[in-house]
Amino acid sequence: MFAPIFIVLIVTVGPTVDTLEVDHDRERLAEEMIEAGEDPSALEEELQERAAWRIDLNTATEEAVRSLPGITPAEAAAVLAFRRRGGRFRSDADLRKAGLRSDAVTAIQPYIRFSPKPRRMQLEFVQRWTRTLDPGRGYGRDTTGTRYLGSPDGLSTRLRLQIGKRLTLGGTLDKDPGEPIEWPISYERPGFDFAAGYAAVEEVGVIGQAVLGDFSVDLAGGLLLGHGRMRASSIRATHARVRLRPHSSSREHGFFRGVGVATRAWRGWSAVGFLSRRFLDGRVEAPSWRLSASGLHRTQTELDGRRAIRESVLGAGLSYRRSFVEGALIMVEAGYETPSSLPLRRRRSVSGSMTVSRGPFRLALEAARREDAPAVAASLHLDPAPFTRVWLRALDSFDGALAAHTYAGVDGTGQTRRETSREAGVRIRPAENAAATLSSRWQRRPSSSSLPLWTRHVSAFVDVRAGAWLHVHLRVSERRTEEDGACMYGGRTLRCAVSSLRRGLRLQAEYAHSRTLRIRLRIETTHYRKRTKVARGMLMFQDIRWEPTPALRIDARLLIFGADDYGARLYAVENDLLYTFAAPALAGRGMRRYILARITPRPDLSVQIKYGLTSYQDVRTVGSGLDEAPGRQMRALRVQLRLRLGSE
Amino acid sequence: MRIGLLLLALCLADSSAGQTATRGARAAALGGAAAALANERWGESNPAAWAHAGAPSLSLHAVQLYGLDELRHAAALAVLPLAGGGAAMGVGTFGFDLYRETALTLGYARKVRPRTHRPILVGARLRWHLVRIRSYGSASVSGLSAGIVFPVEPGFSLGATAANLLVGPGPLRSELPRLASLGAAYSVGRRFLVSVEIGKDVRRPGTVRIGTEFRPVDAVALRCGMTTDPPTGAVGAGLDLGRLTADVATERHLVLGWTPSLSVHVTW
Repeated sequence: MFAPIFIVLIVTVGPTVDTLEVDHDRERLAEEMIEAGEDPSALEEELQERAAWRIDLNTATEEAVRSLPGITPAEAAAVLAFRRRGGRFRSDADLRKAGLRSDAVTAIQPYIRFSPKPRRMQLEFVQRWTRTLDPGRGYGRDTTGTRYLGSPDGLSTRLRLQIGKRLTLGGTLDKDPGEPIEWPISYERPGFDFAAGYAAVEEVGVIGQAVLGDFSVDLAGGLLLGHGRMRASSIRATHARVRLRPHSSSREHGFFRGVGVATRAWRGWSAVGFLSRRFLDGRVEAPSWRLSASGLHRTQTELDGRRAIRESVLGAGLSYRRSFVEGALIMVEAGYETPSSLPLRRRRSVSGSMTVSRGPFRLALEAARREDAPAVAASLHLDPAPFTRVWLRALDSFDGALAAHTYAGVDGTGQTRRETSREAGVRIRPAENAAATLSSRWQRRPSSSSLPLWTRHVSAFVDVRAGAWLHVHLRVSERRTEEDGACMYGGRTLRCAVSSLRRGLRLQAEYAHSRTLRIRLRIETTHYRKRTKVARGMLMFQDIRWEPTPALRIDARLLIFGADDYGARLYAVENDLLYTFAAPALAGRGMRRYILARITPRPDLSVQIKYGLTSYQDVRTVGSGLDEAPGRQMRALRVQLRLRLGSE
Repeated sequence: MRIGLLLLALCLADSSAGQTATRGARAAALGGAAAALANERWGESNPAAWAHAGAPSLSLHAVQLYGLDELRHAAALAVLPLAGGGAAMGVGTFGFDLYRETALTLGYARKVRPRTHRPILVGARLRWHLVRIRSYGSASVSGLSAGIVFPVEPGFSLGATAANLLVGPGPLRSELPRLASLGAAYSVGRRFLVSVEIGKDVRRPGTVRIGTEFRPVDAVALRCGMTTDPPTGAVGAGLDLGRLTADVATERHLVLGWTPSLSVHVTW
């Protein structure tokens, strides 16, 4: 049995940003991250949070404006200059008057609002319940050996209280399917398996930002040109300074626990410092040790690895911004030890970066050092001609360097990795309603990595719009990888590099029949080759979004897929509950259907219900390991209630 | 020989070729690319087309797969106009004395206008199949199919269908083909039509269907089409005399040969 569900209703303010909106960069980025072994859910969650907590463009802090996804630093400066001149934003037309491009206005629309006066207080409470309706053998009563300790229900409770512009309090409780809920509660086990919380203030005295509790750090242009994969995308966050981001997600990794402070700018100078100490899941078998990022504690084995390693992080930075020049110096020291203080590793990283932005030109350079390992990176964004954008990026670094969504100084295995990568792209907009993009990325990693040794990814896509109601998207991509494998030579098995090739073609049309009815149709094929093995995949889906009344919105999808094997798998990002992300990998043959309803009976109350069903052909079981279930289908039900109260 | 034909019939019943038998001569001549055609009377490719029923009609269809007497399919379909749409009732039979498949069809489609003056057509079809194999017995299964057509612009429409989206319980449950198709149709004036469709059966690779229709005069239509899976080419013609319309088609499978079909529609 699980604890009673705390039903909290949250008012949805404005439309939720989701994948049915025209935002192929987000989908493409998410799929590239998945292919590279990264987790895009943090990126998606951040963008959804920004959409749920839109900033008032007239009263938001300068850093909040600069960090809007999809606009350049020059455009952010133009918005701030418009405000300083006494201008007031009342509609999108005012944004264009301030100097923003049309597509930048479209890009930031989900994240801004124009309110006559600021709100004094806002409370958001989210309660989510999920359950797989075809539980695996890990939940069986008669299973011998390992089994899950808890029920197949997933529970997540999130609370956020914003008081004025300055003070925010938040907390999250989370239980994954299979994890038990334990009573009585204690510091180590607060009933739910995971708990996070924070108190954050902004712009109080000399303090620009301060967070006590759980937070992550966005490093702008530091420690190898910022974090994650957002650096070369149109939705890249344009942070100009180091920014502390309170952690309210149910993700159990990729954040710090302690205190962080960033000062306000004084004559262009600002400073940041953060201190963190927390326990991480992992396994220590001297001399090797390994961190775990899953956050799952469903079995006794997984529980045994809980809080096995203690991470201590001390970070400090100094940044300067004046006119078109920005510079930053950042130092991070991270230490890992067992709870009994047996040291495992200590790393110190230092980086200095400089960014020059002038009109259509933005150049960022960074030099960093970890212990005796140097690293350099450079990035160039350029608009050489009207409606043309070029970007170049080169990186030669140690991987895992304080990315905001991974561990400080090391990767999930406790190791540091070098990475060399080159990236180039060009986007051309020959007409207002058409754009073509070509991008190429080459990446090399050392042989000790579990990821491919080298990867080359080339993609080209074309977007054409016919008015506001039809959008056609075509994408062609090719990905070549070389990874560690085993080859037979002269009757012996030797270690060798094995190359693979994966080609994809996607054609998608989005049609808005009316304000209340939209459809999206996609056809996608893949071709995969590895050694002598060739595999093909095909996917087709039909999405419908229908809003018969303002209080009801229905998203439905019918998807048919067929992939010869996992190498030819396909991904299809789905609409999902707020603050969650779903992009199932589809292999084998089958059909996936889901229906997602959002009911808003009152302005302060929103209920989302999602029922999904994946059925496979010619199989007897679905899933693997303890999640293996008999039959050919896997069904899941997800329900989320959201309450949002706000007062002027 | 007859056992071989029985096996062939069983295979055809469980494949997309089964759709070839039921879709009407016009759609057959267009290579099966009829998902986006709002005026496709037979409605097999997209049940949403029944929403255009302006008058009661009776349609008859006959096809002989690969020229074999034992693989004949015959069907009748009545469509009645209702307020805002149309209802369809039909019956069909396929096979021979060793193997007989009978299907009963009920369908409904209508035009809806979701906050706009431009309608969309939505439709659904419920079909009950009864399969009888001599000396083995019989079994039945039902399947629900759905379709939608968007007349985007005059002369341009998009269509999407899902065949056997929901299937009832029973031993034949896994035998019904489950397909999704996306189509587009474009008319150049009143004389020339191009229709394209991409379909995917859960068990088979994707298929591309292309069809063209040319009307040298209003009463006569000349058609041709092709499909990539199964690899098929088709030609056909239609005669439209107002209340009476007749369509003929012949398809050629790369291996199995010719399949002639005939459809007649009467409205009153």
